[in-house]
Amino acid sequence: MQLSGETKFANGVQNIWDALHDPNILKAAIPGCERLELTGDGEYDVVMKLGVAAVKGEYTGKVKLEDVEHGSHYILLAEGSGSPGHVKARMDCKLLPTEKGCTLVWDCDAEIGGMIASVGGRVLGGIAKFMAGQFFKAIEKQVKNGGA
Amino acid sequence: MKPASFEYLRPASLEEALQYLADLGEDAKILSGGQSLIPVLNMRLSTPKYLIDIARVEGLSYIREEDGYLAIGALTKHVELEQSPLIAKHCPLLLEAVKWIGHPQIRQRGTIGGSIAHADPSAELPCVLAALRGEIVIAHADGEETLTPEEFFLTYLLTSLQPDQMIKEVRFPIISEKAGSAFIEVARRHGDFALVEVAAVIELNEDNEITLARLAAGGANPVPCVLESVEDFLVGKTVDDSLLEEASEMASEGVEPDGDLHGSEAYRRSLVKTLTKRALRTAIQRAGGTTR
Amino acid sequence: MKTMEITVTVNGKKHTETIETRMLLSDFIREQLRLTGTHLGCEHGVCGACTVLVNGKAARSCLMLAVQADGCTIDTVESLVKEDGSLHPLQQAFSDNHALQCGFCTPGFMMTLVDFLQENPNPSEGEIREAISGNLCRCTGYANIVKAVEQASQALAKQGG
Repeated sequence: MQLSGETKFANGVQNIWDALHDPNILKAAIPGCERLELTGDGEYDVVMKLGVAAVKGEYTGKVKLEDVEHGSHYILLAEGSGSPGHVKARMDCKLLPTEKGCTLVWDCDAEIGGMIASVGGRVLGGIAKFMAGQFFKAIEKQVKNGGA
Repeated sequence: MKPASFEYLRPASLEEALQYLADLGEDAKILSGGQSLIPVLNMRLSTPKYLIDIARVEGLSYIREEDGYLAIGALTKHVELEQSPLIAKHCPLLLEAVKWIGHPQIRQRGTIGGSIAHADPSAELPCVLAALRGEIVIAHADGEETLTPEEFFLTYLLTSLQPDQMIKEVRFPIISEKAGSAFIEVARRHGDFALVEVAAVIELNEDNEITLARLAAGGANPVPCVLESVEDFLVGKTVDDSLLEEASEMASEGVEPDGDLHGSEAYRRSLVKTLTKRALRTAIQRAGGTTR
Repeated sequence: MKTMEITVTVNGKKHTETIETRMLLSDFIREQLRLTGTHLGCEHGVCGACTVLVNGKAARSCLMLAVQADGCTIDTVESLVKEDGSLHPLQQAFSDNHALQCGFCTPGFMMTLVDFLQENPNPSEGEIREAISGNLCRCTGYANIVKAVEQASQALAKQGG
C-alpha cells in the first residue's frame, strides 16, 4: 500500500524536528500509543492499541530511524504485529522550511497482512491517512504548548 | 465463520442501555439490526466482550414531524422509512434513497441508527443526511448532544462516537413541497454497495432560476461529500443544459476518490460527474423546471 | 450471559431451547432443529441462500443471532410442501421450468419469493428481477427462475392465495 501526504506546520523546522524525535511528545501524539521506549540510537519499542473499522487490537513493534540528516530528512522503518494482523512500513520524511513555518512531506510504503488486511486497501488507506492527520495535529499542539 | 463468544446483554430501556455503555463501553458493541455488525462478527474482524442488543429498547422507533424536522428514532427500520407517509410527503429524497439500501431482506432488519453509526461513505442514509444538513442526536449516561454530519463522520467506518455513547435519533430538515429532489446510485449489481451515489435537491422560482440547491456525493470520499461550491454556484442561475454541464464538471473536481478493485479513482470521479448531471436534471424537472 | 433460553415458533411448532448467545439463527435452524433445507452460502449476508421468513417477512438468517429471534415466528423452506406431500406452486413452477440445477440456492429463492408474491401477486418481469436481486445462483443464469416466478404467480392467483 502506498500512502503519501504533506502537512504544513506553523512552527519552525527546528521545533518540529525536535518534537518528532522526542519520545515523550511522540507517545502523546501517536494515536492509541500505550508505550514508547527509546532502546538505542534512533530505535524505539512501541505498543499501540488501535481500533480500525471495528477491528480492535493491541500491536507490539519496533520503530527505527535511518538515514538521518539532522533537521531535514529521515527514513522511518516500522514493524509491528498484533492479533488482528501485522504491518511493515517504510516512510520517507522530508522537513522543508517555509515562509510560515515548515512542511513535512511524507511518503509511505506499507505491507499489511493478517485479518486487518481483509478490510481492504481503500478503507485502510483512508483510515491511515486520518490517523496520520491526527498525529500531526497532536504534534503541532504539543509544540505550541511548549513541548515536553 | 461463526462469531466468537460474547456476553449477551438485552437492555429494556434506553437508561439501561446507556448504563451498560458507561460501564462496559470499551469492550462492548451495540447490536440493533445486525445487518452490518453480524458479518463483521461472523468473520471475527471484531470480537467484543459484550454485545448490547438494543433492538427491544422501548421508545426508539418512531418517525415524527417536529419543528421543521423529521425526527427519526435510531431503531426505526429501513422498511419502516420506506412505508412512511410522513417521509413520502416531507422528504421524498430520503424515500428514494432508502429503496437503494441493499435488498428487501436487509431493509427488513436494518436500522437507521445502525447505518449512520457504521458510517460507510457508500451508504445511502449518511449521504442524504449530509446533503440535507441533518442532525444526529447522541445519548450517553450523562445526557445528550446534537452533532452535524461534519462533526460526526470522521473517515471510513469511523465516527466521533465514544465508547459510552450511542445514537438516539436522526433528524432530517423538512424539504419544501415545491422542491424537486433526486437520488441516483451506481452499483455493479442492483442492491450492492454503491460505487458512487448523488443526492440532489433543487428549488426554482417562476423564472426558472435556482433558489435552493443541495448536493452531496457518496462513495467518492472517506465521508459523504457535500458539494458546497457547486451548490453556491447553482443558486441564482437560470437553468439550462450548459449550467448542468458546468456544475457536474465542478462536482467531479470537488471530490477526492480513493480507488479500489470495484472502482478506480478515475471511474469514481467520472461517475460523480455523470450522476450529478442526471440527479440535477431530474431534481429540476421534479421542481417544475425545464432544462433545454 | 453466554447462554440463553429462547422460545421460537418454527414452521408452526414451538421450540424452547438453551443455546449459546453467539449462535446464528441459521445454525439454530440447521443444527439445533435439524431443518437443513436452509443453506449457508456465504455467512455474511450477500448470497441469500439462508433466507427464511421472520414474522412473515424474508430475512437473512445468517445475519441474525438466534437470541434475536426469541419470541418470533420463523418459516423455512420445509414449510412449503403440503401435508399430502404435494408441492407448493412455487416449487412446482421451479421444477416445471428447470429453475434449479444443484439446488443449493433454491431454498433462499423460495422464501424470498413467498414474501415477494404476497406483497406483489402480479409482478412484471422487471419487478421479479429486482425482487430476486438479493439471491445469487451460480447454475441457472436466472432466466428460468424468472419464468418459474411468472408461472407461480399465475398459479397462486388461480388458487386464490
